[in-house]
Amino acid sequence: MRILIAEDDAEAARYVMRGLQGEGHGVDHLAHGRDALAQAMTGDYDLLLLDRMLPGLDGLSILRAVRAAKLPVPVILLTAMGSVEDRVTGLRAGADDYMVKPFAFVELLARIDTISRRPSLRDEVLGLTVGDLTLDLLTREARREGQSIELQPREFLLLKHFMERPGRVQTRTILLETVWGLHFDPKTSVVETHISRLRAKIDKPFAKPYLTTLHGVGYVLQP
Amino acid sequence: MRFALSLSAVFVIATFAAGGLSWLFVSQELSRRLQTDVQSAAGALAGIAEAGDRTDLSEQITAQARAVRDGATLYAFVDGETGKITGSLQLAAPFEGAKQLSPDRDFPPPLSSGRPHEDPYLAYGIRTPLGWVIVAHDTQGIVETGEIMVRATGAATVAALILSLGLALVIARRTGARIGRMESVLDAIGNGNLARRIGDTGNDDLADLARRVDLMLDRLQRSIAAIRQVSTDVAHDLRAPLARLRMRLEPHALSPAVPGAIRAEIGQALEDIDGISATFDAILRLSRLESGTAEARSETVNLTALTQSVHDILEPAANDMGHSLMLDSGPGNVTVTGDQDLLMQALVNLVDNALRHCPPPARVTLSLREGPHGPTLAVTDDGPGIPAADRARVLDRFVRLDASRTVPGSGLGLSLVAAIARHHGARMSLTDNHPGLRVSLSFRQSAQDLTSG
Repeated sequence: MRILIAEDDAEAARYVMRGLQGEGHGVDHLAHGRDALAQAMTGDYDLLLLDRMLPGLDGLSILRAVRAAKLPVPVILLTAMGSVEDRVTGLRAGADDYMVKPFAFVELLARIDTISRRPSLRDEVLGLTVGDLTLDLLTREARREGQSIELQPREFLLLKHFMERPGRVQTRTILLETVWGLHFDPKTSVVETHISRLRAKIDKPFAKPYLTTLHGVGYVLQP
Repeated sequence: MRFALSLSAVFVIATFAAGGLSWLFVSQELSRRLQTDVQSAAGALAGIAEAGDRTDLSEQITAQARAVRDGATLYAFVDGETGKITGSLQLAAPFEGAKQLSPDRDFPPPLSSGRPHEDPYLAYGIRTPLGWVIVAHDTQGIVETGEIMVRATGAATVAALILSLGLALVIARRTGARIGRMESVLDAIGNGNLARRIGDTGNDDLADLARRVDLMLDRLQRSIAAIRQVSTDVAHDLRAPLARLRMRLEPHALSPAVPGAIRAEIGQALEDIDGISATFDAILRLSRLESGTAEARSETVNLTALTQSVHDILEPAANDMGHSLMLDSGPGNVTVTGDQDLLMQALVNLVDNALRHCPPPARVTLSLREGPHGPTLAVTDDGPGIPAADRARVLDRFVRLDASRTVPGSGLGLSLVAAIARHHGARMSLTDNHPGLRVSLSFRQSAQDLTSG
């Protein structure tokens, strides 16, 4: 993917660029709002990462200009403004997603995955397989090493989310959003509880654990 | 309106008093003049008596008595020797000086237009060498003048009443409209619409007050804008370095090249960064809610569905902690107007508080009841509760009771719930659940009227 980053904090931009390049993306970085808008308008990009506060022209204005020009490029707003209203304003202006600093880089990756994957989700997928773990999306039954595993509804959603993204780290925030539909962190052990229940079903009885906790980062399902 | 009525009352009393006073003065003056008249008439007759001509005196009195046919003025000469009375005044006993005579009692009243005189007479008697000369004049004129004045005063009072009431109503209506405008502007300000001003262009005390309020609102708006700017700046200046710090550390927490123990340490550091940023978010959110600068999102929130989903989300966690979480909501759908995310946050905070602060196994109940004024959400537990003296204090920011020092938390949870309750016009109360704590949010609204209230 070709990605444009508009971010005036040079160091933050460098980290994001390095991380995205490490994932195989082509990344351009601009620190000035007007330059970023001019560059975005070329239509050469598959994704725009716009900081809301930029010298010259702020990220929200760039987003509005891009949408007014009917460019279909996905946009993720990066911001230090974390209030609910800011988030709503950003999404109303046409952002596909909204990330509040400080964010986990793996979360940015996960969100980029979600955005770039959207069209293919229409494909009829009946089952998922990761290692010797399989999930039937119709019967909602999981199997590992031939053993049937019964899942509660949330556990099913959680496992499905992980199995669609094997090897990709998922943060609490992402899980709260996709599995529970929560756009705020309730600061409770909701995620931990379900992860440990899921782990007890798909990992505990077997030799190799798939679902691992990465402290301070999130969780990953990996065979 | 009360002002208008009291103003009219003052007008009426003033008119009445003025009428009464002039009546008093006029009747006194008329009496004095009458007195002078009868005295001088008696004096003139006495002059004849002094001359010693008894016949002339009798003729004069008879003539004068005859000249006044309506009995308004009466004359009498009482012979000093014989006691015989000449003239129109048939006195029982002669006297000297001024005296008020009553018809019937002091003398037989003469007829006037066929009716006997009833009003008292003012009389004056002079003793002469021949006898007494007495002249009396009735006070009918004075009485009639008094009656005219009473009628005039009455008419003036009614006129004053009508005029003053009208005037007072006009003033009251105009003032009422201006005060109404002030109230609506202040209500709008209270609801966070800081741009509204009264803009009274009048030229009186009320306009003065309105201008002062407008000035104060200008200052308020500027300082709130400044607070907003500062919180945005602080947000930016604090979040940017936190973001750099997080990005600097994160790759090492994931790198297989880093030894596991160190990775765990870095992971802990990342969690701390997230904790700082979450506390910071909560403070900002709380400030915005408390200062009224948060934009109120008004949507119809289905509380029945909300309690259901909070229960579903938290029940597994509650069970894992050894607690049981009950849901107690009636049939049907109870709704309020408000912000769904905020209300959910409030409920989650309350249940989470109960779960964390009660030693397991505790029974925590999330309940929803429809009351006469609006729904009530409550979270009850059978844990240790909060001493009555501390119940108000726990709503303040960063307050953590000694008993809960060992439980993780920022001390912002209940403050946030309180702010969210206020934001929705709900009353939050902490009461004893015998045993345990009951925290309730009572909404005073039907589904439609959050924005107007």
